[in-house]
Amino acid sequence: MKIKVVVKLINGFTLVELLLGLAISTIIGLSVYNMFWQAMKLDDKMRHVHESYTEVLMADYALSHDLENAIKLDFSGSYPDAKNFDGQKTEFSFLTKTPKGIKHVRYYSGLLNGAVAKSMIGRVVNESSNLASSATGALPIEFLLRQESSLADWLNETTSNTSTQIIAAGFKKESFNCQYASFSKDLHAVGSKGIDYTDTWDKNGLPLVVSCNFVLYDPKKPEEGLAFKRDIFLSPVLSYHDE
Amino acid sequence: MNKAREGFMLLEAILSVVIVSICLTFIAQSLLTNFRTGVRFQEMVRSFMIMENRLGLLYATSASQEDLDSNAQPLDKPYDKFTVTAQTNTVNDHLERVGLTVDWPVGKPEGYLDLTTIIYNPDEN
Repeated sequence: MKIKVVVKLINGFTLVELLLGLAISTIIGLSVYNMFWQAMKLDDKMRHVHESYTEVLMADYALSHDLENAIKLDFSGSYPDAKNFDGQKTEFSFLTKTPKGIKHVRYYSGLLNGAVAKSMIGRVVNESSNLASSATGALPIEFLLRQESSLADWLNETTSNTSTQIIAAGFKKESFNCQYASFSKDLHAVGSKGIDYTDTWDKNGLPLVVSCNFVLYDPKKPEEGLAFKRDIFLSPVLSYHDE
Repeated sequence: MNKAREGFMLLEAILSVVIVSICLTFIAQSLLTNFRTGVRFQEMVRSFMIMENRLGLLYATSASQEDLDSNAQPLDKPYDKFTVTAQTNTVNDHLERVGLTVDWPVGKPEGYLDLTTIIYNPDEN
C-alpha cells in the first residue's frame, strides 16, 4: 500500500501574480504620490500667500485706524512751522487721537539698520538696535513701519518718547507710494473725477483722501508681486472746514 | 498539508494598497480644500479693500450720481478682475439707500460681496 504525502512548505506568489501586483501597486502609488506632492506644494504656496495677505490686513487696519482719527490743531501762535499733515511720495506723518492721547505718527517703508526677521511684526523695536538677518537681507523687501511720538517730542524735535513698530513685512522695495487729494465743495456734482491727486501734501489742513499703493514681494513672481491700492478717506467734515 | 510559511495573498496586497491610496487621497483632498479656502480668502481681502475704497468715495461725494452710474465697469489695476455695481433707492429728500456689490469671476460659485448703507445727501433729491 502506497501512501502519498504532499508537503507544501512554501506557498508564495507566482511570478505572474507578483509582476501584476507590482505593476498595479506602482501605478496607484505613483498617481497618489503625484497628487499628494502637488497638494503639498500648493499648500506650502498658499501658506506663504496667506501670511502675506494677513500682513496686508494688519497694515490696512493700522493705516485706516490712524488716518480716520487724524486731527487738526492750530499751532500758528507758538509753532508756525508745525504741519498737521506732512505727505511725501514715500511717507507721511500726521497727528492722530489714540487711547494714550494725541500722538504724532509717521508711516514709511524701510529697514531698521538692515533686515528684520518676520517674527518681529507687531513688536515695537528700537531703531538704533541692529536686527540684521542674513536670511531676509538678500531679498528686495522692506517693512512698513509706524513711528509714534508724543506731541511734545514732535514739537520740540526730541526722541525721548518715540517708538517704532513694524506693521508689515515683505513689501517690495520702494513700492510703498502715496498720493493725496484735497476736498472740493463740488464733489457731489462731479464725483470721483473731481478728486485731484498729488504726490505731496504741504497744505495746512488735512487731505480728503490718502491713496496708498504697495506691492508685496512674491518669490514666485519677483517682478510682478501682489499689488494693492487702498484709498483711505479722512473725515470729509474736517476737510470741508479747511476750504 | 503543512502550511509553515505563507505570504500575503495577491488580494490582500492589493486591498492594502487601495486602503493606503484612499487615505492619502483624503489627505490630498483636504490640502486642496485648504488651497481653495486660501484663494477665497485672498479674493475676500481684495474685495474688502475695494468695498472700503468705494464706500469712502461714496461718503465723501455724498453718493454722487456720476460715480454710481459708472460703477458697472471693471475696475482699474490692481483690481481689474473685479466689478462693482450699485443700486440706489431714495429714502427721503436727504437720505439715499445704496447697495454695493463686488463681484469676481473666480471659483465656483463665483464670489461676491455685497452690503447696503444709507448715505446723507445735503442737496435735495
